[in-house]
Amino acid sequence: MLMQKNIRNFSIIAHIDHGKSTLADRLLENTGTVSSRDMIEQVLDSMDLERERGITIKAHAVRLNYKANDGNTYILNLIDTPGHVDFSYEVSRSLASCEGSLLIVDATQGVEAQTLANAYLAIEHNHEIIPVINKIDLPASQPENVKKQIEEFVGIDCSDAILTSAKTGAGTKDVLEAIVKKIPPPRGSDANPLKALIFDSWFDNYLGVIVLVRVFDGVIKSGMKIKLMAVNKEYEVSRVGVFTPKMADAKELSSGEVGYIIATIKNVSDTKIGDTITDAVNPVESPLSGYKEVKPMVFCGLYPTEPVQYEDLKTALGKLRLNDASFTFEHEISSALGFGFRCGFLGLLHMEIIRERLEREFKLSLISTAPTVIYKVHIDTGKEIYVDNPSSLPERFSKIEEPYIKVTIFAPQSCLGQIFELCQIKRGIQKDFSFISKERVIVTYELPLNEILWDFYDKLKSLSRGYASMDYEFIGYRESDLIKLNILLNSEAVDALSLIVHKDKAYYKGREIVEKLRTLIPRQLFEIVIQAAVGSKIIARESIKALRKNVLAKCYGGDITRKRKLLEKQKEGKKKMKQIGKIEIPQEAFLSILTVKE
Amino acid sequence: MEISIVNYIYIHIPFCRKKCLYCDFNSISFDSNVAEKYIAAIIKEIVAQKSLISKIKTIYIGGGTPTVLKKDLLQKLITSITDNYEVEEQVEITIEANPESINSENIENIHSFGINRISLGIQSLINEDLIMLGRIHNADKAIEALNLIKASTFKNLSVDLIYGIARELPIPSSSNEDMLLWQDTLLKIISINPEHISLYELTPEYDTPLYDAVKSNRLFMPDENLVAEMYYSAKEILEKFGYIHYEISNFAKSGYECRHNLNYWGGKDYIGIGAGAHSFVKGVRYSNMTDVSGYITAIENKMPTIIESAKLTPKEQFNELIFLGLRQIKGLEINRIPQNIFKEMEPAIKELIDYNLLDIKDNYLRLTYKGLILSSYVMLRLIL
Repeated sequence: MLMQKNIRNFSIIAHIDHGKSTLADRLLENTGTVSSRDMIEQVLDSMDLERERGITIKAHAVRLNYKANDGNTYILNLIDTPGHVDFSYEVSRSLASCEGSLLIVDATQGVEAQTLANAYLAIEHNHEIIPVINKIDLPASQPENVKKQIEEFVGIDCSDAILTSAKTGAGTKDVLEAIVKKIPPPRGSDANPLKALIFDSWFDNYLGVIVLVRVFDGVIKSGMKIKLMAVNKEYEVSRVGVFTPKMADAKELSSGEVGYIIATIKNVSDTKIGDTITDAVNPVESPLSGYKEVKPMVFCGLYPTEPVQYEDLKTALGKLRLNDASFTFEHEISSALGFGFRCGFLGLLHMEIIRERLEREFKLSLISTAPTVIYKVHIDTGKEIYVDNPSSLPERFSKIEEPYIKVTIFAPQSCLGQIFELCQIKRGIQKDFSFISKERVIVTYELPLNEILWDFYDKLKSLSRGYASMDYEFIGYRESDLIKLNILLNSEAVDALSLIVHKDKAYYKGREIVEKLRTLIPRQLFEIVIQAAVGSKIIARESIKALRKNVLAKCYGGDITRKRKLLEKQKEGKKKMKQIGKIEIPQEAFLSILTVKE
Repeated sequence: MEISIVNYIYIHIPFCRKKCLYCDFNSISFDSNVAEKYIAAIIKEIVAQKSLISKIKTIYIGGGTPTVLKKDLLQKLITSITDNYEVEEQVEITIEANPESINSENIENIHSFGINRISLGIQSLINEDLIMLGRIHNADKAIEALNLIKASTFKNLSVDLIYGIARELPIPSSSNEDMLLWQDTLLKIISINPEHISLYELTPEYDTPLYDAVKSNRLFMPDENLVAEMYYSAKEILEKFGYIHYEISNFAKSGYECRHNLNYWGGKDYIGIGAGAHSFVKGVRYSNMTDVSGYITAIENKMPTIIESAKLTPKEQFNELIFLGLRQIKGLEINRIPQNIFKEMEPAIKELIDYNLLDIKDNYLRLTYKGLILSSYVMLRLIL
């Protein structure tokens, strides 16, 4: 019989690249969960994309058996958290499943934006936080300074902070001992009615939906009828078990435990992250707190380059949604791009991931329109509508609101001026700024979400030469002076190129976009006139002269292959273009409206 | 073993006195020791092709500047072919030459070896242009070489000319000067009456000094309208003087079309000998290593020289058929296009016909007058 006092549930939280996955690997290795022979680097990041990008996209849970110095064997449940701000709600649900967390800070980098954001989240969840200073093997490491930073900015005592090098394995044992000694065991009762939290779920072709849960009260076992409270649906449990990290069936999961359940669930969208599972026969009265319906924040249109791929795209989106209920898609018709889908994502990274998976795993060639936020528009009748596509913004409305975020930026003091400038260009309102150390500052701004889509992070990274980090949270809708900017090609408005901009920026943006399109659209057999318009007023105009000459001067000497390959390469480029009327437009053109200079 | 017989030979001589500003061919500066070893290597490669070569119809000695070779080397090279292979009586043997490497003595020598066609790189008769292009001859030398060849026993002379030459300052679109100079060069050449004329638009190829100069605004390419007019004006003038326009860049008196190049455009087999030379045999395109000393070492040590080899896929075969076929003015015989593909192409063909870039005549698909300088666009529309 499993003793609750021998269970420890914990997360690892860190800023990106501070060594979270590597430390997790060491823990797995040290507890013999994964033998060093079977160890592929970073076991927990199992999706190809996760490994390539070095970030965790989905939560994972793995059970470690650890024989501590006190002679007892403990079960340590490691719940990995997604490492990106797009997934902060998922992070919060993972944290809610644990009693404590390891806060990893890179000894050479110090506290960064996500260190702080994640640590605050952990504090909100009453976690026992164990500070871990990692990468002490590096010559540039400054563990004492980093300790001071953590104490000052995160506000937790660092006198017992553990020094580790996940790379060499130094300190791993200390971490395991601290988990056992400092993190409290779960406190629930098997006798109470079942109360379990869903913190992740995915679809498996053979097993159906697999749900990761933390049991708070009661026991869950196969054969049992359960109820998912938020969606109010009942299912019968067919299997329960834990990840070791391989799937290992168990008889039951009792209170305090973390593991998977498989029931007769068909749709991953029924297993909402943060939902409470209870006993259908003997339900609890109220679910666990903190459940939120996650709503997409960023939208874009996805269209097949070739119309015949529409059905394939639809199937692919359906398949991806099986595993990711947080993105949405709806059929959409663009007069320029034909049949496609308006898709909603948690954030930009989420969007990029989905798009990349569609192209990579499903071999689709896609045109994506510029990402946009969702606007709240009050129309004259007093009705309120949400607009996730600039082309559907009504001509007349009484007021328009846009989502605002609070952005926290950590950066070297030397680039403070440039950060202020960047935030100001992006219509930001400064809220706070203070020094973390002599060299580093923390700056807080309120910004329209729309303004950080696409290039804000890149610009921040480049102006700070990579030393700045940021995090953001949604703070609500605010009224703004926004208008629709239309782009016309040979006098026809191209819906896929329209965008919603702040009135003060319309003229400048219009000019820049038109200029940019002129360089991106290849010359064709006829002249192309590109215009930017607000309402019926043309604010910018450029033209692309008709193609006069396109000929290979010489073709002799026997090297036919090179000439053929040259043509074939151009042909591939041509195939990727989208034809709007008679005009062929390359993919980059649809994104150009975002990348114009400010 | 199946034996394929190839009748067309290309021989690459990668040496020049000086590399031109725009040249992206495989060439290095001339060194007589290297040249000697190189010719020895080439002869070995020629002899090694026994199973492939027979009944030679054309030999094309290209470069570089093959005429930089001393006469005995050149003679050895030719003899290595004639001693080892059967050569047709009507064989076309071309050598590429530059004016500075032609004199009254070597011209007769070259002819006596059996070479019966000279392709002379004149490029321009304007001294400023020749300097700009990085050529080492001047206009007088060019005329002198042309006259020498005309007065010699050679009966088949081809002249290469370049138009659309770069300038140190942007050319105002109103300026007519470049056009007049171009027409003047053409008329001077025509008065010498060569049998064949090739016209090349100056193109800044990647990795050439010209490309860098244009990229960095040290040189300026002329306006494309002017270049287009230069092309059409040359076509008009040459046709008036009895030259037949038979390929996008090539004109010839009747019966003097370059048979060697026609073979390329016809998609037929050929064998290339020497560093960087390309071959096409039985559907496989392959090429030798370009590095001259590497090539020599490989041959001396009986190592393979082929660095790239690929059998054409059906798609590639089709693409070549289109772009080589359409380069010829008579066009591409429609029967050569597989019927199912032709069906798929029809909408594109129709559209190109509507744009007056393409037409069909006597069952040949061909570029129109307007289509000539948009040929790459047309090909792009049609290839797979």
